[in-house]
Amino acid sequence: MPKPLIAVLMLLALAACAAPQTAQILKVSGDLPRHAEVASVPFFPQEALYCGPAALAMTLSWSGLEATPETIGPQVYTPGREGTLAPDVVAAARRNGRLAVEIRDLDTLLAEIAAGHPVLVFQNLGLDWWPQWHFAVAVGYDLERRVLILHSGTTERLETPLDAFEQTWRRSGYWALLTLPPERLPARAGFDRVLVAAAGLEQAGRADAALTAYEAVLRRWPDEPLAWLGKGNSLYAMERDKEAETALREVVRLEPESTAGWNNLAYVLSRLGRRDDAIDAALMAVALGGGEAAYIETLEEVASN
Amino acid sequence: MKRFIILLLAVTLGLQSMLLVPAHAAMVSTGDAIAADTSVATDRDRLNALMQRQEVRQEMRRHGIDPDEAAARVAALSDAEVTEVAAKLDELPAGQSAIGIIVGAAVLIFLVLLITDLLCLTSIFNFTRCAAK
Repeated sequence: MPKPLIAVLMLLALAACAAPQTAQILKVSGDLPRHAEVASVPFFPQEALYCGPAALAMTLSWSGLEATPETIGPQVYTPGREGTLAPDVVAAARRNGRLAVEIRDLDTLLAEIAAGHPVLVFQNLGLDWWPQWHFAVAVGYDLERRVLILHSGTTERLETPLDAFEQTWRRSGYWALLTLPPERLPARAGFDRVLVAAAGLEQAGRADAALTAYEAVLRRWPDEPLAWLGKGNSLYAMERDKEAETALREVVRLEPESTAGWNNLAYVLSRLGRRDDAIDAALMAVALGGGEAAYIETLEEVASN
Repeated sequence: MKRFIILLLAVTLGLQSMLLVPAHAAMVSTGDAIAADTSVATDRDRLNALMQRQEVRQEMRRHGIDPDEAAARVAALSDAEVTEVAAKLDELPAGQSAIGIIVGAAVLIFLVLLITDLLCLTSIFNFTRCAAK
């Protein structure tokens, strides 16, 4: 989208009501630095409707991968819709082995920039009933001058008034995304959101990246059973069964009633050739699982080996 | 709400045999464990995890809805809408485990109706808004 058009649409955005999150941050910035910019975030000018691939290529490149809009395009662009869906961006980031963590408020967005992480943002540059969807990358901000700096469209470092940005961001449902190398955790995100991102790596078939992510998670949050479950599942997927057993035993040590922990331990032990131990674990899952059929089938499966 | 329950029961009872996914033994994926743990995952995470489940995606296709489109619509719900949807999900009869190893029939129907509401094809819930309004 050409720069003058973006500017006009930003002005239209200002015609609406105030931007509450901006107002709050300008009043009380807390421990946010007054200004910050992430150095050397690659810029790819978008072509036509390719703002999704361009934006994702930028953040993936920054995270250490070789990525261009041409290579990313087929992974996210939906020709029938002439655009990119946000969930496709998340899925592509995960398939590329990146920790894709959603950001849903302005304060967190700015905090991540201050921590040196560029943020992929989803905007509606139009109106609620006439949307103009757009993906861009937030690379910096300045609270004194009240601007956000974006790689957007064909403009590198487009300076956007913070309140205008917030309004375009509000209309997209406040959707933004970090795409981090898996050993690096977000500065601000809570355990649950990071855990979901790590599990997403498993789901996308990147057990190697998932393992790295879970290990980073466990360094920050050592006693979380779900993080140990993720680590165990990832190791099992990578056929490192002995280590998987150790991780899954941590799950049930921390949470003795974890049916998932016992169930999965049964599979690991079975593959290690320890039939009796596998049956014991499967029995625990059955007993704790209230008769759920799936656990009984696990028991039957490990007992039949 | 009463109308919804009657509709839900009618549809659920009528299609029960077709909707229930047969149980099969497998590793419990981390994603599913997260979705089932309400203390950890936020409502939004649970909802997004649900929309990615195979049974849900299949159910969407069965009703002629593109599962990616459906997931995108749910991902775009505002925080307030997510809270409402999550609350309704928790109200549903447990049946064969509302969210767990198997996605229960009641949950599947609820999600389909939620999506058709968001697509302006139906107007069942009072907390959904669709673009045409």
